[in-house]
Amino acid sequence: MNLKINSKKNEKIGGGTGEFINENDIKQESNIEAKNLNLWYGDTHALKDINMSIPLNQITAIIGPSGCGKSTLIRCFNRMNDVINDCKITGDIIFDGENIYKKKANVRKIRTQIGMIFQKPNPFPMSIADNMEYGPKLYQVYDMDVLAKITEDNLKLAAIWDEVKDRLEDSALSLSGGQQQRLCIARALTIEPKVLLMDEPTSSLDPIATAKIEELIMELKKKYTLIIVTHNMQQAARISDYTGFMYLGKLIEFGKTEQIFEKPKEKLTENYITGRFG
Amino acid sequence: MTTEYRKELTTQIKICGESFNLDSTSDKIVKWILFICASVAIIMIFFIIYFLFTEGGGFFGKVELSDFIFGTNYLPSHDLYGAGSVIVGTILVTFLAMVIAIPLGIGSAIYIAEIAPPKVRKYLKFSLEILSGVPSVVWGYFGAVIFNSWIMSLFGLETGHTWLSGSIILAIMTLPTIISVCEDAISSVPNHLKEASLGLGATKWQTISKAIIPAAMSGITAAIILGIGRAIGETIALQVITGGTKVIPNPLWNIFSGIQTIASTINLQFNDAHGLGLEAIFALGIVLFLMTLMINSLATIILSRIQKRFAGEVKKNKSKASIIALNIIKGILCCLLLWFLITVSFGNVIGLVSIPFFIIIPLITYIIIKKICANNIKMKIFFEKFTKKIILIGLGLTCIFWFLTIYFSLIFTIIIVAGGISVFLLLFSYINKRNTVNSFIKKYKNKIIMPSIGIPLILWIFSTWWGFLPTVIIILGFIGLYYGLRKISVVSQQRLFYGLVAGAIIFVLITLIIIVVFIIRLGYDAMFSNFLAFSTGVLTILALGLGYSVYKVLKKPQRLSIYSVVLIILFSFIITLLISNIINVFIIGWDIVFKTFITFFTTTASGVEGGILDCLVGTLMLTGGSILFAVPIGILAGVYLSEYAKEGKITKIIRAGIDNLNGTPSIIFGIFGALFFVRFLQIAGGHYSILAGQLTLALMILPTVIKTTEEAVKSIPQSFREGSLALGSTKWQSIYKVVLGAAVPGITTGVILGMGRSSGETAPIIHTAASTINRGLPFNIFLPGNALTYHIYILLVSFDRESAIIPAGGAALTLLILIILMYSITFVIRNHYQKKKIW
Repeated sequence: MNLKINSKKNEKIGGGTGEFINENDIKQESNIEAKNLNLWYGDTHALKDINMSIPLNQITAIIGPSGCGKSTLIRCFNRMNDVINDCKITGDIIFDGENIYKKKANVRKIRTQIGMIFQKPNPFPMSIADNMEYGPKLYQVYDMDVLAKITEDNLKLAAIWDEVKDRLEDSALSLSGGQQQRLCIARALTIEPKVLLMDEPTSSLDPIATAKIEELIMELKKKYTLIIVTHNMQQAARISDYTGFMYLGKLIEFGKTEQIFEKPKEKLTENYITGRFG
Repeated sequence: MTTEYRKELTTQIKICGESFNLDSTSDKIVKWILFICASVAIIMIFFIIYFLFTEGGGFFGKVELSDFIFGTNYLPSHDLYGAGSVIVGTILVTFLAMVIAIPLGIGSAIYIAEIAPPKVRKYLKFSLEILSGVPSVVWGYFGAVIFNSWIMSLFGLETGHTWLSGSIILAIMTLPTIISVCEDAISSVPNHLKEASLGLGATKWQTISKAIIPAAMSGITAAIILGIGRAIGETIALQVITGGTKVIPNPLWNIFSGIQTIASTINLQFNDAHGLGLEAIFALGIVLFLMTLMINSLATIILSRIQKRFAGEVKKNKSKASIIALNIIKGILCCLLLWFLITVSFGNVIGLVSIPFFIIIPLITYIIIKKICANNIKMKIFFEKFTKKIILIGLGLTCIFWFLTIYFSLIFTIIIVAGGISVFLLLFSYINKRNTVNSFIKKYKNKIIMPSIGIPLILWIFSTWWGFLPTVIIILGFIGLYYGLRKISVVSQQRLFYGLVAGAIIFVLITLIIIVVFIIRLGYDAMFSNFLAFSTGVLTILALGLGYSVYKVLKKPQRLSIYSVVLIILFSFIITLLISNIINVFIIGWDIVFKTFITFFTTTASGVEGGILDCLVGTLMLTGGSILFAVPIGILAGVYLSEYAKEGKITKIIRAGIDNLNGTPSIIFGIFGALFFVRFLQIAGGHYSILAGQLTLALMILPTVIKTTEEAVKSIPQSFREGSLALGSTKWQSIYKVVLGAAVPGITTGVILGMGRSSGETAPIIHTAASTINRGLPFNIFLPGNALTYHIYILLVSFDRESAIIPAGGAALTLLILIILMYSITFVIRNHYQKKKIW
């Protein structure tokens, strides 16, 4: 049963890609690029001169000890830090050839293209179906058939359809933690993003739920560029293609995952990976 | 095939995403609308100030300020406007009420916050809410009809209209405010403090008294101040209970003297006053408003400091310019105060001439001091450290001293001032831990200061009541108790204090039960012609309650306990009684048994006779209308404060406006409504109308709605907003679609609390909406109408009071049932959603 769904999903993804990834993206090697990014919370300098380019359709993991600025960095990519008072950002983040921090940038458009999954599952206190329809309805999609299709397809994509198909009208809060997180992923997919940011998506979940989410992440890679913040090094090694190591607000090292974990260039990285601190 | 729609969806999202920017104008417009709603409160405060001063400000030009404040004869018919007696009356009534309410309030708060088990706590809080919902006029009814006669027979007095009875009722009325703010302060003491104390081996009571209470001291102070603010503004109850004698008690501690407060004077005189008399009323309004404004601002400042302290906020260095500006403002205020004192004491002419002196003299002194300090570092440090305090304290003391000597003899004034200082310093030493004065007081307070001031004062006052010898014995007993307490074991101490604290809450609950029982006893006569109908009603309620608990017990798969057996026996007994009652009703005849009940609720009131249908409809109209006006504005303002407002000057002003509107006495709303809605806006052509009453009440309940909405919206986790924003919604979309939906239970609670408050108010509608002339049902909002509260009020102040007791009781019972019903709904909503909430 499970196999069948997976194969079906692959077909769909194969069929879909050609249609809506635009040609620019394919030519470009990187999708998001941060240039001289600095961030202050009040007087605290939280991010210092971050320069990195995130490769397209790959999984990029950002690791580092607590408080090093991982989550802050990832929240910069879709301007979620705007919500926080007292937050000052300098530098550029280039997405699709445009600086998302330029004046008069269309933040709303940026957020539709760069989706985000949060540390704690945050389904809205509504029914599962309402959660799924929330995004499209923001963009004036009111056709019942289309909404039903969006719900079904994305729930299938997030591998939770079988578990919830009979209870779409139940409260989303009645789901388990892992289910809630997969629902949130499905919800983020409803508005057809190109990039998915994941802020420690499995930190509040048990090992089985984590495995399911990891499987899902590997699956999503085919269609989306993923950036994952994690404090779990094994997870980064397991699922990511590229890894960045951050320490005290600085990006110490960034490169292929194998290289980072096997032959780190920096002493700090080595110390962290081998568990001498952190 | 399944992917067909995706292309369309992508384009749709692209188009919408581009057309709607996050900073789009629509979001900005929404923000402005919300801002305007939030500013309504502060605008109204300005309107209140403006209208009071334009109407009452002229009064001070015609009558000497000193005559107004210190004169003791207030006789408009003789052109005498000495408000001294009512000002002193207000202060005395509030003072005694606080003496009674503070120990009870703090004790109850400690019990609820720290000692009561969670399940009990829930119900205690609910009963306190009901206590706070008992309308002022119902307290007045209870006090005037029942309590005054108790006081009369207990002390063998000629009349029950005394300062003592007024203060006791006032104390109970302010208790809910004091308890809830105190309880908040005690519960918000961080848990680690408690754990640290318990970890050191302290008993629970030691932890409470030595760690928690000191940490919560400033919150408790704020609670007391808020209680004072509430007490000062109380109108109807005190007017009815203390009687209308505008005298200063003689001697000052004669608690059996009649007394009148500012608020009741305003209410009593407003309708008959004209010309200068009316201006005097507004001048009294100004005095009352300024008093509450100062008290509430003080409480707000103290409360905001606590929040900062527990949040661990670091004090920011002020810029030099702001310090200079602040000092200049302070200087100007000091000079104005001096000028005011001079004007009051010497009359207007000398005062006016003296202004320049009072600006020049401090300036010169300042310059001289500066010159001295420039040469002498020791002097400089001394002045920097103490000048401000010395000047302020000196000035304050002189004012008080001089003010008091006008009323009392010199010796007594000294005692009062000294007592006041010692009480103040004691309080201060609790609040402020690192103070040089503090260490001095700590060292000597038990041995020298307290006995030397306290004992003579107590001796003097109490010996006038009990004679000299009993007083000495009682004082010695107290001292013995104090030292004896130190000798007994820690565990027995804890037991003793738990007993005292539980006693406080039991006392509060008993008062609630007493008032409910008496209102029912007096009310059912008006509703039911014979006992059969009443008992049928009571039995039905009992049967429903018992039936529910029997159902609950039986649902649980367990052995039958004694409790459940007793419950079932009781239930069957009640059911048997009920059935026999119903059979009796059918035998005697339905219409005979329920005749009074039906007439009571279907005919309109005509003084003592008739029913209360028009009052009920009027109350519902007033409440409904006020909700209609207050709720949209209140919710939008609450959303603005929690979601959009950035903590800055403007937000601070808006919050101050809301807090002060919340603390403004109801009678001030009443005369403001009469000025603004009735006379200035000419609603209903300058006559009283239901609409004017609705608007006035809407103003009153606006702060309640704003505050509960703000709390409810704030408690929604940030992750919901982020989830919505990450899907590309605008700020308003995420608030409207996700946050508000989740906050509905909290907002509903606020709305119902507002309804409860507005249906119980009397003072705001007396001068705006209420009239007994219109005998029809008050459905036309442009005509005046009757209301339950007004009906009770009119019956209480009518000449024929004896025959008015029963119909007033019926109306009071109806009102009480209405309010308890509303509060019960909020209780149920809160419980239901607390269980359901899992975020």
